[in-house]
Amino acid sequence: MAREFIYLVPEIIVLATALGVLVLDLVLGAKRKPLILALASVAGLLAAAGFTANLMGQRAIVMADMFVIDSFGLVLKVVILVGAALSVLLAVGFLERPKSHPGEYDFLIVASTLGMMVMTGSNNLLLAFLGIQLTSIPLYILAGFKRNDSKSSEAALKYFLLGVLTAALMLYGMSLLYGLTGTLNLTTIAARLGGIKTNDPVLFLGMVFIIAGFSFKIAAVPFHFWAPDVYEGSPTCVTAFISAVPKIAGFAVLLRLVYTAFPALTPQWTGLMALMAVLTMVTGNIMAIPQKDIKRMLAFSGIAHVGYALIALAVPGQNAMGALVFYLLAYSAMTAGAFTIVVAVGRVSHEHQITSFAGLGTRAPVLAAAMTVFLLSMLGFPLTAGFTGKFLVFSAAIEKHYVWLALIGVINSVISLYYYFGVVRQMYLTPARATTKMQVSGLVWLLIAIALTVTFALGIYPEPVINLTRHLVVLFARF
Amino acid sequence: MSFPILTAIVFFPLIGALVTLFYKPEQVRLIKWTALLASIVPLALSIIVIVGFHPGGGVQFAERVLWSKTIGASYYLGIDGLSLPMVFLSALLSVIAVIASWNISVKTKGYFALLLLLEVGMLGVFVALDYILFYIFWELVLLPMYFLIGIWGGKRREYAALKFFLYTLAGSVIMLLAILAVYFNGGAKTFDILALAAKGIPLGLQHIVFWGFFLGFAVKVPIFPFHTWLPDAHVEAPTAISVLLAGVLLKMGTYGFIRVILTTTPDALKEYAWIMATLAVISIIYGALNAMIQKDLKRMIAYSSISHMGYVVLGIASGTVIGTNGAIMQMFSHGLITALLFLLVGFIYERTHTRNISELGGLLNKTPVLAGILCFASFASLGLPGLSGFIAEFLVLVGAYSSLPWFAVIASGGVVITAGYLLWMLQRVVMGALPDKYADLLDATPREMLALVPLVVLVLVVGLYPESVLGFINHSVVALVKVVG
Repeated sequence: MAREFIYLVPEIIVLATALGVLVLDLVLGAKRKPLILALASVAGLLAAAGFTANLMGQRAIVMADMFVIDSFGLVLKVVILVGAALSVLLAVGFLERPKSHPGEYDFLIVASTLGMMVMTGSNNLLLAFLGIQLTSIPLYILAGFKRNDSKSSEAALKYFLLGVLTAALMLYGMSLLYGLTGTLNLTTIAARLGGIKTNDPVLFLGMVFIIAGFSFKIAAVPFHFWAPDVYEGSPTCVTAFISAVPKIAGFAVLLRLVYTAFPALTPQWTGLMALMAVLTMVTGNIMAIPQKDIKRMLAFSGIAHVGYALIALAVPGQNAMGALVFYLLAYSAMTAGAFTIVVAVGRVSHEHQITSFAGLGTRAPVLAAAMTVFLLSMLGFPLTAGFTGKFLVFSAAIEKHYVWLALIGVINSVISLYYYFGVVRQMYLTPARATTKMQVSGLVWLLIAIALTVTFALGIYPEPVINLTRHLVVLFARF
Repeated sequence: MSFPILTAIVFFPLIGALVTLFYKPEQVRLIKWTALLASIVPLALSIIVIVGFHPGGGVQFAERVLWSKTIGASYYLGIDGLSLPMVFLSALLSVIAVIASWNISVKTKGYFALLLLLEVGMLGVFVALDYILFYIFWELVLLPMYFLIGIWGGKRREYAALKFFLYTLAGSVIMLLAILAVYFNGGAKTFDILALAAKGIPLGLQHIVFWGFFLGFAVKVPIFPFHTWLPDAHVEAPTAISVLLAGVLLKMGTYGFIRVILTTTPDALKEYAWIMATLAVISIIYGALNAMIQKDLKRMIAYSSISHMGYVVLGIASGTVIGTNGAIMQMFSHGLITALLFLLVGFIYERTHTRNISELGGLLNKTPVLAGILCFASFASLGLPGLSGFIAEFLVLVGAYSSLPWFAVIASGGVVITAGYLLWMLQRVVMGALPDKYADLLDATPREMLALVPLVVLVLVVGLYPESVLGFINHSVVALVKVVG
């Protein structure tokens, strides 16, 4: 028992941080409260990340075979924790909080992060479900954080309703699977499926429903309808968080599900993933073109990126799994960077139209250059993280002779040029409407610098990270 | 390890570009001189490479460092008889482009930084011998070009810049898939362009990847029907950028045809040569006819580029040593001639503020030097014996005649049309009466002469003594061309 406890230290720290922030919020005086609370949250999250990193290399399965500790999960948890810490920082000074309880935001982010950690490590469908709910419920509230803003409330409600609907679907799928196998444990499911005919329609239906529930978290088509409204309506710091961090956890749980529980159904789920990949890429890219609001545009572009990542799930194999993890890292870095800049620009222009970027090249040259790098990375331009990510995904597809899938992927990349460069065009080719130079705080520079470093490092010298990701999934697959 | 001269050639402009970024926008003179220096050094180094180059020695000055073991990519540079003229041409035209851009007054800093970045990409494409590296440089060219057209271009610059980017990106991502297909199915898990070519890839694979590479390169050349981005890009681009676009960027496409398609998919090329030749001949005739009816001088030269690049493709499609020699000669020669023409059009435009042929006339009266060089360049372009264009097109047609006789016959018809539109243009622009409003035109300035004269001299030297280029390329071509006849 005591040994098991060691493995759960990161989760416990995060839980303590969440509760601690709530208490601090009540106790502290009003002076500089948001900053202190944010720093406390960041300290807690980073401490948890440190402990998680410390566990690296260990493998265990704890809590009655429900929770897995392996390098795959540990690395993703570190990324999730760091991402959450950056999101908390981003909100300092950029988020209008309720005067009475400014700590609510930090609490919700940390609580949601705990949910993601549970998702990432779960080896049991019920635990995965709990993790997803623990992640989602704070996010519903965060989406509606601007209480007097009708769009924000609309976002929260839509997010909630669709979330509940998919949760019901997911539970139904789990019940079907439980009926067939008598267990919710992923490893046991795989073992018991040996005795069941794999072409059983009930089994297939159960799997589809569960995958559908998980797909809601990563906003894959056709479970993406919440994304644009939520991205647009939520405060931008929340959007930055939602767009990157929960998707990592969503993919982690999806990857575990299909590889651990359903190796027997590989042809079925790869086909399903391929179908979803195509739908997601095409829908995301086509819908991003007409968007005038940059947050909506990035929402659809994010959907498209989920589509590219799904290619890696549609192609079984170690290289594809590694590519998926790499893609998630690259995607998080460039999305976080882009949203940080959207936050900074939005603070000056008080709107999120793409036209509000007009003339940014002269008003804030460094900021515009950084934005260009992030957009190029999303496009998949060489020497950026996005290129390496797409390269790995497409090469995994071609290696396994899924040329058609790769072809649809690259054609979609070309389409995305149109809307990404719609922003670049505003920044450099369109004259500014206001000539004032933009003031950007040091905190924003720090966040941008981190995102830029990761984007370039993964683009120019990706070798260590590729090695790491492939190594992780080897361990994971053997489990 | 000896001095990495190719790395120095490729990346010196990048240092220049980075240094430029640290200047204040007002330090215009400093920016320009830095850009000039940063582009002269690669030219000087490329001359050192030419001096040290052994024509029969295969790939030389090679540098190779493993870049990513998991991906299988290397930083592998090298130069042979095919790339040597292209490197020299890129370095030379970059210097000339800097000189021709001396009057740029808007956002000077960004302009020269991007120009130098463009040079990095161009030089890199011609010396990269690893597919991934090649692809990176290939893409790197697109970005500065987008901004150079989009910010400093003419009225429809945004449209032209995006169209250029979309077309070439579409081509290049398909090329990337072909590269990956060769890597995984070619039998040797390597991105080494030469090793894959030497080893040969399975026939079935050749037939598939041929089309991937073909699309990527054909858009860049551009071959009919992928050409529509070119006239728009040229008309909107500033003069110096047009020079580089026509002089160097188009050659990247035909360079790819020779470097990759001719060597790695020779059997597929043999099989589909008739398709390439058909498109080449259509490009030649269609480009020339389009050039004939253009009212805008720059648009006319843009279409003439499509026509002239058609000869390059025809020479490659012939699959013969002589035709490929001609193709490379034509790449070099067209680079010089078309650069001259675009410079002249730019210089004339700066004086008259029009490129409309019907508004010009009698330039010989007032600006004899500019008009004279325009005549010279036009004659070179239409293939006057003794100038570089003649020998190149002659070799292409001879090569094509031996393997694709009917195509050669039709293509030679293009020569006649070319002569037609160029002479007609000269008649309307250079001859006749000078419109009154141009009574106080000034002739070429020393700076303009500095840009023009080197090109004129080279066109003459290559035309009178083709061995000066052929001597370098012939050995490599013999090695590259596997299918003869």
